[in-house]
Amino acid sequence: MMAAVAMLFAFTACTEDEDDYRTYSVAVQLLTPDVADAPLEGVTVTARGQVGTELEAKTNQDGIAEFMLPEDMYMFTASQKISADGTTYTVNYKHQQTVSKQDFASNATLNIVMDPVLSKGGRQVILKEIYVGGCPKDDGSGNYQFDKYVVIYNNSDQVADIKNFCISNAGPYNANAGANNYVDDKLVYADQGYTPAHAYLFYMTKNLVMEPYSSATIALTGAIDHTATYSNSVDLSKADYVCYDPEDFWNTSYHPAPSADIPSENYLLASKFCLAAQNATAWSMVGPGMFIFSTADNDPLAYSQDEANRYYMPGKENNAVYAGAKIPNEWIFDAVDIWGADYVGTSLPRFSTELESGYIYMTNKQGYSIYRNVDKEATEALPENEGKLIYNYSLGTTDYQGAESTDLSGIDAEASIANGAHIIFMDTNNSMNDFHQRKVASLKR
Amino acid sequence: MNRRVSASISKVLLVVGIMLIACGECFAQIHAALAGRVTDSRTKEPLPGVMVTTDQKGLWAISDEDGYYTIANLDFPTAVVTFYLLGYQKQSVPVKLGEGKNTRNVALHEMNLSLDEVVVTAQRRTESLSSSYVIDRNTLDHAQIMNLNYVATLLPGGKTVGDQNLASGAKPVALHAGGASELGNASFGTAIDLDGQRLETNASFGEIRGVDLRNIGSSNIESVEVVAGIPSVEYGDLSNGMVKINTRKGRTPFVVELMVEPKTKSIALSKGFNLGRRAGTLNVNAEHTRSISNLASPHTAYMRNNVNLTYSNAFKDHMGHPLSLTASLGGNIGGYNSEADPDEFKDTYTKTRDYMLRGNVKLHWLLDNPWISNLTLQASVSYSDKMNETNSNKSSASTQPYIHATEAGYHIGELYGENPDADIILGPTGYWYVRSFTDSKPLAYSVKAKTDWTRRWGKTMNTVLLGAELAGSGNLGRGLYYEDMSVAPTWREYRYDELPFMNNVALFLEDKFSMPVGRRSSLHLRAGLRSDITMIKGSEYGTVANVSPRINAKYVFWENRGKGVSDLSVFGGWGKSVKQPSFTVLYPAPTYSDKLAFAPGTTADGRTFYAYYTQPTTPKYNPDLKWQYTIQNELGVEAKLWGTRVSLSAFRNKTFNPYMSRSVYTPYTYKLTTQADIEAGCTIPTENRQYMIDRHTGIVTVKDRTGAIADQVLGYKERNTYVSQTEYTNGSPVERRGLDLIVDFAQIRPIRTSIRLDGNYYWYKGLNETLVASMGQASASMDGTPYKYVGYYAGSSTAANGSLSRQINANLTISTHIPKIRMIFSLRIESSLYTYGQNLSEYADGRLRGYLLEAAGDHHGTQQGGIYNKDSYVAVYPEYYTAWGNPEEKIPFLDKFVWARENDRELYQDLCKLVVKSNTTYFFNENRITAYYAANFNVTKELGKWASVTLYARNFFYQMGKVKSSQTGLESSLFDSGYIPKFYYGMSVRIKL
Repeated sequence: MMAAVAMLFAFTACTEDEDDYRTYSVAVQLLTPDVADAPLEGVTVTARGQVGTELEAKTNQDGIAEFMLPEDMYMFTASQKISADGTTYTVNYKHQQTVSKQDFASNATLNIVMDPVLSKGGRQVILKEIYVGGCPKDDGSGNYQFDKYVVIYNNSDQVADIKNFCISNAGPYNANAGANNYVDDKLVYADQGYTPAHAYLFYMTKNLVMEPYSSATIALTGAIDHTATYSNSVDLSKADYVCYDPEDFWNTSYHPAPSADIPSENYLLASKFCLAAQNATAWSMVGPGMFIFSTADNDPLAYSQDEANRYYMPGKENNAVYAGAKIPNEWIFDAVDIWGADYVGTSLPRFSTELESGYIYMTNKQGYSIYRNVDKEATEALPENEGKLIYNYSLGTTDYQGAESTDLSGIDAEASIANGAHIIFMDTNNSMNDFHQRKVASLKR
Repeated sequence: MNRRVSASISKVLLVVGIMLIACGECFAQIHAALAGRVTDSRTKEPLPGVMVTTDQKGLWAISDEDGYYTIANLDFPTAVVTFYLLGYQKQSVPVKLGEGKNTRNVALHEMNLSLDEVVVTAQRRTESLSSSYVIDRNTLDHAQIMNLNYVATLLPGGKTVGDQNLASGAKPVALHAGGASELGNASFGTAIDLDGQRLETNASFGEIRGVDLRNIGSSNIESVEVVAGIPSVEYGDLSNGMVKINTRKGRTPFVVELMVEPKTKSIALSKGFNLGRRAGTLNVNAEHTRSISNLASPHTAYMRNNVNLTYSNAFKDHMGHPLSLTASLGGNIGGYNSEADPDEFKDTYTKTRDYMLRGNVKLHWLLDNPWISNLTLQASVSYSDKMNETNSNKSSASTQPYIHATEAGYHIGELYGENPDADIILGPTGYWYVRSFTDSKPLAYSVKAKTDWTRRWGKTMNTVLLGAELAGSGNLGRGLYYEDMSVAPTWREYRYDELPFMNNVALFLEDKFSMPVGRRSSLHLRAGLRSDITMIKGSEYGTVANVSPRINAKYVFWENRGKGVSDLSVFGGWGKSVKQPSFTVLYPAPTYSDKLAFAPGTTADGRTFYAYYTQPTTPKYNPDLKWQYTIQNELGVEAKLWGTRVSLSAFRNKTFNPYMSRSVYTPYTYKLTTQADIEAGCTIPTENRQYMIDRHTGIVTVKDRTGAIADQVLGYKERNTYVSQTEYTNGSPVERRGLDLIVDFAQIRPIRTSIRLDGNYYWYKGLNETLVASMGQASASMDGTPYKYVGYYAGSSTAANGSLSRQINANLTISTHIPKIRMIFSLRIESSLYTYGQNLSEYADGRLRGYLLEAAGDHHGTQQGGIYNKDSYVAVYPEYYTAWGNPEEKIPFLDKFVWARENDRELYQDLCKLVVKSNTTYFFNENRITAYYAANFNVTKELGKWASVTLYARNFFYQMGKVKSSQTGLESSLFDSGYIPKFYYGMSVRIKL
């Protein structure tokens, strides 16, 4: 599968700066995927450090990007679309590496080789928006969080008709939780071909049918109008679907009876593997790992309740608090790894690279949502969008480092959709490219 | 067993009686009186109120205003007379008596650091026949004990952990016990006596635990005696030893005491007033202590405001016999309060009162007639107010169901404004506050009468103690209630004040006998029998009787022999002690299972008329409940070797029938009507619908408010589930063994330094086999219905049903006392040399209960080769299980489970959920913690006779080392850990005016 191995540089290792701000030479090589003819040149490689450093470098003709980095733990990522034989692929790279004085002999460069992970483009149903962070209460007593929702989107020009559609979250609930799925700094299921649905999943009892370029809102909690009491919140009484199964999750604060406007056939029912006594879902308001999937021809309840498909976090075996159900990666449509902006340094990826090669920061409690970026080139190429696209998108925010988090396409997707446009969203399996943090949830009118 | 024990005791008493008669013939008697005057050694002023006791016939006297005392009717030519007065050094004087009047004047030394004999460590009570330690005022001052819960840290091998702050919750004393995870309710079984008044938690609810001593001011304590061994039968309602706290009584100067440490500040004022000639003394003590748990949040605090008044006086009856009266009234106003904390949201707080009022009257009368020496009458009452009040802010976007239904059936939510007494109140939307109160007001009383009859024949002495006690406890609190019922969440009233009092009548008889054996040796015996009859009117428990025999013996080989081994004695004992249950055990609150039966869609204004099926349970009284008791055995030796005093005692305590809770599951069926049923069966427009649910059948009917459409009955699904409730029962026996060692090396005179080595070895094994029911962690069966099986496990529905632990702790205390400059300095190095723990999963006969698994996901394993130290997962099966439809049929689990694997896949999947497994591979590995230590430093200096200052630093080496656990292989830092004290320091100043 792999093609070339390039020559690596061996320049002077570190600068002559003072010890407390010494930088080190790091060469990152992107191995060439089989479907490409030559090393990937001109690809942007991002190095994100835990203390907030973010540097970019482009690969040279040998597929190598060079950095001078201060000591830190870095996440190196890169994404590139390539076409071969009429098929468009997204190739993603992800690697976590400590850069410290101990790693460098005198005058040496740290060489990092990253394996490509290929995925075909064109996934039909994707997560368009994730609103889980809560918003300020009107009385100033804190934040409100029973108003969580996601919006799924048919990112194609074909009708989607999906049986056994499910939604769940990867564990741990919060990306920064101490109990996690890592052993010896490695995600234990990274190359196992599955992702555990943590604690519970919700499944549709009918097929999910979505028109091309259409959205559907799934209320994760409280499919009611929250705005009368919480003016910063959203109205979920008109949600298309709701996760509601009061026999499993009977806490009426989290899960009030859904609005009478939502037909019961649009309730997603629960399959619960967490403690029987857990009376409410625990979608993270800090940093969830959301994913949507279909169990294909398998009954979601029977499949996920089968002890043979049970998963426990390492070191927490047989403890229902940390239980999950193994979901084969090929069943998964979309996965988004969200990291709490206050916990970036301690957060760890929860998806294998083939599903998510990045992550997106979220500042919670402010009413922000995580919203997908528009694929400007593809959207503008649709002839029916002529004159319908609205630009000057202004609902971006700043991320935890103060950098801008916005849709660089400049297209205001919601306004354009309202104007009759068909939007094609970015879908590179790298949330750093695909998402931004939106100042106002799209359902907030 | 009790009958056999009673017979044994009768035999012992008979032998003692024969010996008495025999000895009585041996010695000639005299008729003597002893009189004299007690004065202050420095000022030469007379000392009134001095307690003068003798070793003859229980005779005693109290010195009058001029310091004079007289003891008549002494009938043996030698006596040891002891003089004691608060603030003075106790003095024992051997006296030779002739016929008629004898005189002995005594000068007492004021207690201060200029005396040679000052100690600042817990002292073994050598005169006791059982393991008993005394911690005197000097030691309390020097250790700056502000929280009496920490007094056990001064015992052999005791360790200071954390800090003494009062705001971090109660940490009741538990004698000869390990951590809170141990079975057997050790702190609950540790009795606390304050001036003879029992403090107890019998009428408390919640956790079964011992008395929280935070509300007792430390400044008013004269001494604390810790009886870790077998106490006299005079004391009942205990199973793990007792702590006797004695307050100050007698004339004292005005003392101002200031204490400060980082989290606690205290000021105390006390004085013992002389009320005038023959008017007695009045001790007044007032203390204010404020303590915080978190330095970063100093506004949330626990406050103690103690006032104590103690009146004592001595009178003489018409025969001239003394009669002492002590009456005390003490109280505390304080508790925990977060109201002033700016970190809390506006108007939200938690306040927990710790109010207490105690009254105690004690009359001690020397009758000195042929059949009765002394009569003691004591009456006491204590009342506490433990009200917990919280004010919390709430908000909701939809109406929440607040279920208050207490009767079985279907109930639908109603707006408070339309029916304030509705079984389900639909809460408001918007923002509001909820103020709740948990009102607990335990009341305890006791009336006690005891007589003793002491006779002496030569050096042979016998004292018979006979007494009776009536004690009772109840709770006058309302339990949990809410200020505003319109916002009261799901709740049912459970009034503590409607529960019957628990009363106990006790009779006790004890004989204490001493006789010489040869020229130097002596034998001391104490044997007694206590009968407790516990009466609980109006409950299914009725009357419960228990008998507690106890025997102690001590053989003194020799005393004061001079060189080499100058003192040598051995002691031993056996005894049974019974602990009455707490109200938590007696009266478990009824439980309610509320199942959502109907939830129509939420309307635009946020309203949902939820309906629930409520299945109540009646309180689960257990008529088979037995009172917890402990059989204590102890053996010890005391010796003085070349000036070094050594005390070694071994104990073995086995607690039978420890109180424990378990769940009881009762099957029931309810009807569930869903939104789908509405959509399928209702054509009435949403805005015109009025839902009704039949209280008994659960059938939902929809009415058309306009009347245009006839009533429509909705469909439903039936659901089979269980209601669980808590039952209290008795667990399997728990055993504790140990050794306590004190070595007080002879003082190194040139440097005025004493070295003490104290330590303990502690062994604990608790293994529970009482069947425990559990539904595992499953919420649903494989067919999607509620889970329908209940497993019954031996001892616990977790992987372990017990544990084994062992510890060796050793402390080295180096004290330098320089009387000339009135200073004492001590360095105490506290070390834990050996800490061992092992989770157990086995039966009492040694058979394994768990099965070793090859992989975490396995459900079948092996017992070959054992389960311990295998670095693998362990599975535990229930002994049997029952199914919803037939709860009486007990199906052996393992056989059915193995069968189902091949023959019934769905049943197998469901039964898998009853298999309990260890969460880690190391869970059943032994856990050895590497040795660790910390050091405390204390110095006390008297500034003349008017003031003294104590400074101390805990963990002053600022121990930053690590300990390693062999169970996990991980290291953890000692810094800020539960192993050693936090690093902190403090100071106290005492000013006498």
